[in-house]
Formats: sequence, C-alpha cells, structure tokens
Amino acid sequence: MSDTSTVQNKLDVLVIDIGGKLFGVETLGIKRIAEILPEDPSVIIEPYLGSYQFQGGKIPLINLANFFKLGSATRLETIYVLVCSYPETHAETFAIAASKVLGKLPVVSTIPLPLEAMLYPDIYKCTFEFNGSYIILLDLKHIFERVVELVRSEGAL
Amino acid sequence: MNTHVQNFFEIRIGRFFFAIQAQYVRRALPVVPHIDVPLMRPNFGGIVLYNKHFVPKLFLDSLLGIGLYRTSVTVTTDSTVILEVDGTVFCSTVNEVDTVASIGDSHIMAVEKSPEFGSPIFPRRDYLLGYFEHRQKSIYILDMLRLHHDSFAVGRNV
Repeated sequence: MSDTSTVQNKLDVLVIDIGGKLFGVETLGIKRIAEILPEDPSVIIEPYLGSYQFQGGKIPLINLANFFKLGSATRLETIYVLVCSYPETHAETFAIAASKVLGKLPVVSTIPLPLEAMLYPDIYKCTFEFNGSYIILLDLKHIFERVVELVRSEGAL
Repeated sequence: MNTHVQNFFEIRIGRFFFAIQAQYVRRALPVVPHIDVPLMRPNFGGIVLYNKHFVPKLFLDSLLGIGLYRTSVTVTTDSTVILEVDGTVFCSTVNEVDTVASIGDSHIMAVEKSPEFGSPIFPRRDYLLGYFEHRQKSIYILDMLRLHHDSFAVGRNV
C-alpha cells in the first residue's frame, strides 16, 4: 500500500459541491465556469448526459450528481457549469454540472484511495485534506468515458 | 495425541457471534468515522483513515445477509476491526469484539449441526467454515478467503 505522497508540482484544485458532497477537480482542464438557471435554454440536464451551448455548438453535459447517485442538479436554483477538456490532451470538450463552486486551492499532499473497492477505479485520482476532512479528486477524463459507456449501454446514445 | 489448535478473534454482529482466524486481524479500534465515496463495489460503505492510509469499509452484516436482524442490546460497544487478507487491508464495524480464543480442531463442527442452522435469519452458509461452542455461545468461523475473493475480485469492473 503506498504512503501519503507529496505532490511534486503542486496541484491547483477547484473544490465543487455535487449533490451535497464536495469533490476536487484539477483547474488545468477547466476552460470556463458559468452560473446559470436550470431553465436557461443553453443547458439541457438529462439523467446522465445532457448538453450545454458553448462557443456556437453543443457539448455534452455530465450530470455527475445522478452518476454518483447524489442529490439531483435539476432541483437547484442555479447550476454551475464547468466546461472542461481532458487535462492531458485538451482534445475533447465537455461540461459537468455542479451545485456550487467553493474555490481554488493548492494541494501539496495527497493520500491514495483503495481503488480495489471501487466500482470504477479509474474515476478517482486521490484524496486531499480540506477543512479538516478529506475530499476526493476526480478524474474527469475517465468519468466522461464511463458516463458515455453507461449511456451507450442503456441505448440512449 | 496432539490436537491442532487455531487462534480465533471473536466478534459479534447483531445477535450472531463470529470467529476470524487471528492471522487476518490487524487491530481492533474504537469506531473510526468513515468518509462516503460514491460508486463503491457492493457491500462497501466508504473509506476509513487508518495509519495514514485509506482502507475500504466492508459491511459484513450486509455481506452475510444479517443486516436487518438487530440485537436488542442498547449499550454500544461497536468497534472498527482492521483486517488483512491476501495483502488487502480493509475494515469492518462490528458490534462487539471479544478475546482471542484458542480452539482445537476437534471442537470445530459442521455449520449444519448448529442449533440455529435453518433459522429464517442465518448468516450465509457459503461464508462459514464451521462453528464451535465457546462460553455457551455458538461462534461461526468466517471464511475470510472466500469473503475477500467475493468482495474484491468477483465482477471487477476494469
């Protein structure tokens, strides 16, 4: 089992609330954050994969709250839409829906997760300390792939 | 004639008493709070920080099929037991931990001979290696290798 690790180049992480639970995402892949109303025509919230109008086109919008079986994003007064791209490639653009954006912080040390107990081991990167507790750092690239797989398996894509 | 003796760590979950071969038990601690993690494998409920590492928390009562059968004991003596099987460290919250008992093989009997066997609520037979009587209680020996295999290896989604 690997020990607590110090991040070589500190990570810049955005702390977000998804369905009442806090998560971290690396700021490196975030292109834009928009606060919008659920009835805004630019956004279509679906159980897993909706859409968001971005730069003249539609990009997929992941309903992470539903994927994680947490509170629904559709009941909120406002939704935060984070437009992301794969941090490694900056290739495919997609968006995720969050309930709140709490802010950015540098992460210097992380603790691995016991991935052997996870249904999808590749969707989580590690944990980091925040306000006396620990938050999971999400791997958005793999989450996007998993959500697409899930929607395809249900025949909705 | 010498009888082979095994050391068992005794625990209680609900109204059932179980024995875990002592080599699989690392430590017993007062209940350690867990952090919820979405989308864990079946029967897991979060992670627990132990010795600067996160270990998964396995709901043994759920796995054993006795999750709905609670005891009337009101004094809380719950503990978090840290287990290690086949190199995997994980933990479970149990209602009570007892001493380590040394039991000779000749005292271990087939589960089917237990007076409780056949009750409507009974721990899953496939996770039990046998049972023995200790202090007027029937103690069921958990098959930790099977339990580990089914929890961590079966249906792996990678």
